[in-house]
Amino acid sequence: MTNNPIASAMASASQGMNAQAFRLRIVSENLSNTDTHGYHRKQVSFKNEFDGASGETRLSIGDVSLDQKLGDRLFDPSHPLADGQGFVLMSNVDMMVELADAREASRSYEANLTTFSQARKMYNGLLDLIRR
Amino acid sequence: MEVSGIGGGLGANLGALRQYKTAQKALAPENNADKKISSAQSSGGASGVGKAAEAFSAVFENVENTMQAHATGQADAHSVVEAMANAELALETAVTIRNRVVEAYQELLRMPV
Repeated sequence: MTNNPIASAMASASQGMNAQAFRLRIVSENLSNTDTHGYHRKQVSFKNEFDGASGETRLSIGDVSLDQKLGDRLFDPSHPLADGQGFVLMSNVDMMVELADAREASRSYEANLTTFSQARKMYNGLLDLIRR
Repeated sequence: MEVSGIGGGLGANLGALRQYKTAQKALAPENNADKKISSAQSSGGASGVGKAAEAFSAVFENVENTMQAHATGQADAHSVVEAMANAELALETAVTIRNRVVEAYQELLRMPV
């Protein structure tokens, strides 16, 4: 099946869907930790990887890194995590950024899904030629 | 008959590992039939058909392996869908080609001698 371009199209679409699903998972983790004090949002990176066996360039999920930007400092002296001056460090999650990222992941997922079903349709069209 | 056998087997596989076992039993005669076909064809001189049948059953083995890996949490759902789509296309190809062969044979039978 390695030389079948339709099969490799479906394989790369499947990897794309997997990567976008992972990205959505990270976004969801960030969103759920919006109110965690001192939380740094996670960032996903994707990378290309050449697979010598099949001669294809495959998508793979790179390292997950932490956004080092400091979160907002909230003045709340009664808080148990407050520092000497009465400030509490909040998470650096921006909900707008996370929701935009989630929307982007969802759209990319849809694009890969469309590629997948398009490849299937193309192959079925090819088979229809034999069916007469 | 082939289509409903494997199609039902694939549907049952989605449930759980227990259902997977029954589906494996349902798939087993299908694989044996392929091997019979391949040995019959290769003895008749067409070894290419035998290779094709082997590749065909390898696709279904891939589905079984992927589903088992998914059930044990080692593979993601996307690879299961991909393997099943591959198997579906392979099955459709095989059925279409078989239909053409049978059709050609029947045409030969109808030929006035």
